[in-house]
Amino acid sequence: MILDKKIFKNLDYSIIISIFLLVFIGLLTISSATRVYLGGTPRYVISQAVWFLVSICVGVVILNIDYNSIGGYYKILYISSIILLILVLLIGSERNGAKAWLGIGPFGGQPSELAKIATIITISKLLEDMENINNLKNLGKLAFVAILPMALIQLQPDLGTNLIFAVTIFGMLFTAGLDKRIIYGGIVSLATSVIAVWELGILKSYQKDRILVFFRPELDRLGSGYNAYVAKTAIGSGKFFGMGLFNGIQSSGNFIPESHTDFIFCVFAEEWGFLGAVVLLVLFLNIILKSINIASTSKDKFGKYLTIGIITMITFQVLQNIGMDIGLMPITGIPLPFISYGGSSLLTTVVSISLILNVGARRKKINF
Amino acid sequence: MKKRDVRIVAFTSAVIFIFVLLVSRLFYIQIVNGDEMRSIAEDKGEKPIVELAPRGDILDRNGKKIATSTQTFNIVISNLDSKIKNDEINPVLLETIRIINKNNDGKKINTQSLPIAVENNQFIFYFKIKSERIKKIWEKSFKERNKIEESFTAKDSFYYLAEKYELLSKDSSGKKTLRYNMNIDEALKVIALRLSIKEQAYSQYKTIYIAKNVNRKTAFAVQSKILELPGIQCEVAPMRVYPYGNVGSAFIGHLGRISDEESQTYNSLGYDINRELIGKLGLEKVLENNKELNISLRGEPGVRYVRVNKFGKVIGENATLDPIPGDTVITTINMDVQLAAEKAMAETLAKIRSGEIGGKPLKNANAGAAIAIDVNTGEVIAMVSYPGFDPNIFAETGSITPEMSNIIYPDVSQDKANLIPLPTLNYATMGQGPPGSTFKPLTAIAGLEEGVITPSTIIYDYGVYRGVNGFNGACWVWNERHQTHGPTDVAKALQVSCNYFFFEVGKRLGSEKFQKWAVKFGLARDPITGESPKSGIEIEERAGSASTATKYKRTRINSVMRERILNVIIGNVKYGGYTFTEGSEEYIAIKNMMLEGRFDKQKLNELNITNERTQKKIELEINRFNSEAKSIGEVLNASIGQGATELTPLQLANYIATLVNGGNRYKVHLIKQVLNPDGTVKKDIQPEILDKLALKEQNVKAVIEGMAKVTSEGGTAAWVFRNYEILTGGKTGSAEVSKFQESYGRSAYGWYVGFAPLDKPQIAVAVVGYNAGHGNSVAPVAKAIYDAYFKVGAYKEQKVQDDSLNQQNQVNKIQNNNR
Repeated sequence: MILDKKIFKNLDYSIIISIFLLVFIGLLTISSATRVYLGGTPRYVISQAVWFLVSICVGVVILNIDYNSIGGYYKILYISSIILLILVLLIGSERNGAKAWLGIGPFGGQPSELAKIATIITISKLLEDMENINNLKNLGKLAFVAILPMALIQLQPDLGTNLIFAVTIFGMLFTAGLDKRIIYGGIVSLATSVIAVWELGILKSYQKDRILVFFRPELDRLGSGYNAYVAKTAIGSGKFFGMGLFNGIQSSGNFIPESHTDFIFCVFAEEWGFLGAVVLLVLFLNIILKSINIASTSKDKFGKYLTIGIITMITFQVLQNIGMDIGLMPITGIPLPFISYGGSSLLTTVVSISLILNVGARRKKINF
Repeated sequence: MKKRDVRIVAFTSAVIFIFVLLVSRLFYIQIVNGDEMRSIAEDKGEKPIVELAPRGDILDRNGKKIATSTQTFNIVISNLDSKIKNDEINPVLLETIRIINKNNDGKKINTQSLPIAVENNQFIFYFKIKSERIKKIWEKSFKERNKIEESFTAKDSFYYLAEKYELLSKDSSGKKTLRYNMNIDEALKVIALRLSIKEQAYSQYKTIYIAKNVNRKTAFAVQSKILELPGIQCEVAPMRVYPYGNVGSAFIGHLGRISDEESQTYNSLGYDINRELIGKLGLEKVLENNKELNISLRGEPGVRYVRVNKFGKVIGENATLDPIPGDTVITTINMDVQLAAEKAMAETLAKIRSGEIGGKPLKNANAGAAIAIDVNTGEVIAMVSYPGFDPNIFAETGSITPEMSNIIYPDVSQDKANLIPLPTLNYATMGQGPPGSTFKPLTAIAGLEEGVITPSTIIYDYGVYRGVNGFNGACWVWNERHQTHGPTDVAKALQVSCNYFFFEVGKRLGSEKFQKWAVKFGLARDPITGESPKSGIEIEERAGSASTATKYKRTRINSVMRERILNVIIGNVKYGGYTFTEGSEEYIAIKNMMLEGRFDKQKLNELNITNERTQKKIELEINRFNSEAKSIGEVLNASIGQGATELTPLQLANYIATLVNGGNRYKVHLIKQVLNPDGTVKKDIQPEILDKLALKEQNVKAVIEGMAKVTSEGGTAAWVFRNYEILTGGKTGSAEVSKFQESYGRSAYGWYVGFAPLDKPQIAVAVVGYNAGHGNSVAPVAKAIYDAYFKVGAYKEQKVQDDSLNQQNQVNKIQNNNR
């Protein structure tokens, strides 16, 4: 593969280094969570490393294609992601109560991951072509494009992914200049619909439990609140310097559920302490702020909204995942980008970031 | 443009706000509250401990406990720190082992993980299996699992593991000795337990057994030292007990460990693979967790959330979710009748072996079965399979000793004549055998219902049957004594078991009508689907079939296809040179035509088999196969229960029940009622009629009259029922295995079917004795069943016992035996 030298030169390497560090931290933490040092299976660590290599390859391919050419295919991307979302409802397999997995044997993934990127690209493309988004026709168009995949995902059901969807699209519309009155109106109607959703029984009982327990964690420390309680204990016991790699009590004692996926931050924070957690957050913050910079200096609006969409998605995932461990957010099954075990999630995140790098490398010359 | 910049600034501020929020919250939890959280994590780690639920009881129809649970003491270790220091854990294990040894429970210590033993001062690899080949495989996998070099002997392996777990120390001369004054036996046990713990490395909240079902004294001895033994606990856990021992093993079945193949399934059902035992046979298996019947003997395990310190010691309890015991299942079995039947079965076979019954000792009369069914409901009153086994031997650990294994699962690879009885085979529902003359009442009712004979039809027995060309079967009195039965009506024919009469009825019926009635009574495969008849019983059954055209075809089809179709047509230029093979589309199409007996030219054309000669040949063979299958000779043999006819006692009992109740074929069932753990009724099982045959009253009466004569003077079972208090009907059957059976130790199957009382039948029975010589030899088992059911004969004097007290004694006895 021949890499365009100009692109290569213009890449933001601090983002790339941050990603490599985060994935490395992730691999260490996964191996701690799956107790490889005690003779546990190294399957997860190896699988994650292989997925990362695959993701890099895909990312390099994407860097070679101008993001505007990719944007040109937005209709195909969007429609095929919708088709996959319908397929998964028909022939997908159920995991943890949601029909979200499509594939044969070990090959496969969650179509909702693809749908996230496809929808971000589509909305960015639509926003680029709109003079003013604050009219009924344009808003209606945007709403339709956003709500169709969300409705299909709600049928799986996957509340967590939809939360990401909603926040991501809001972030994009907000930077695109959504009218303040609409924002306020939206907040009011959101509040109303939350109450409606709660009362009308659209949520599954375990989802309700999680939200209830979020507001009153001591309500049920052994049932639904158990996860939240254990997560907080594990993180807290890390103190400033942490207990040391592979030395966590809560993690090695198998107290933490889903410790290599959703609750991986607990394992990390217990073993690396506040210091490690801050370093981790700084790495994330670096990626996010550099990306916002790329967005604001992008050569076209498509690149800008694309970058904002992706970075909103990642920021929200970080907030949601870490937030649920420390009692700031309710518990949902959203992975921590780059860190949590999970191939298709890692691939999606790396592909997303390579789209941002793509925008960054092709922007006009900038002055700092 | 400027406006958008404002939005970007706002966006950036929001991101920074989020990160500040995260960091400050982390600061609060990790720095401000860090000490508190650390102490919670270290000292008050909370762990769930799974408590197994007692399995649901299995009761007889009067509430007697056939299977129940008792509490036993187990010594366990749990909640281990992930990085065990040898110096900490070894002394704890050793001390526990010593306490258990001192209280004479050393044999109960779980040494399954270490297949090394010392015999005559020699280290050996020790596996609970006979096969040398499998021993080698297991030895290899043991070594691989523990990273032991393949060439190591048992002694090398022992020292390697002892070294690995730091059980050795060097004295001044450099000689390695065991530490802590351990002897070899103690060291073996310590290593075995260390290996068990290692195998559970990923699931440390799970409990590891040190010793199961120890006696009370041991448990108290361990409990009193518990403070010095971090991680060790004494748990009280339920254990299955079968108060009646081997009585009823045919339908109870037994428990066993979850095998590697089953582990994934049961894991997903939430089973604790290493601790829980599951039903492996009989009702225990079928009702383990039956979603279809909505019955679960397993129940739901409970959870105790306990606080443990960092050494794994439980320091308090936070909450408890009590286990929910399994459903109580009330069976249709009457344990009094069951006991009587089991006893009679064993005694009768013993008498046949000694020659006390039948005159000539038949030393291989060592297997048999009996079943009694309520004719008006299809409820199973008793079910015996001899020799059977004691399910208690599986209850403690789920596996049995090698010595026991040789008895329970005998090696039959050299047993060409099938002389070795199989204790775990349910002969009552799975043992197919030729029923001989016990089949004759079926031929009789079929002939009467079809109108080819009437109750008063007289057929003259001339000895050898000449009614069909090429058939030369004869009546048994002719074969034995060159006599005949002379003029015979249906009742007399049943009484004296006249073959000649039934040959004639079979001939008059013809293949199709004969098959129709065999199917109606659940005695033959369905002619369309080819499926075996199902009695509906909850436990596994393997129904046989009368020798009908369908059965004949199914048995012969593969060789006929090979010899008459494939060998002739394939590759033969004259026949168009077709090349299809066994299992191909063409093959299957032709095979189906053969089975259905219908030539389908169009289908052949579709499959491109257009060669005229081939089509003609196929048509010819279909017709030939058809006429062979429906040949009257087959029908004649089948009419007296011979030919390819093979049936189970369950099938025979239900056919007699259907016959004597006037034609209602009930679903045979073992479960009467299911109770919730709190004693309320979960479900009632009602009798279900599978088929209404609406038999004519005078026809049933004629057959019953004939079967009544069997048990009275001049009948084949007269000696058993002479002067019996209740009038009963029956039919004996003696079916040869082959003409040369005696040369390899076999004798005829002895069958007896019957019902009682005569005027208003309540129960139907079927009894079989393998190699029992004659049907009337096993009739005493039927009589014993009647005795117990109607409380006559030996059971008349029986006083009403305090059953609950009696049962408690039996439970205690079994518990003591297990110690």
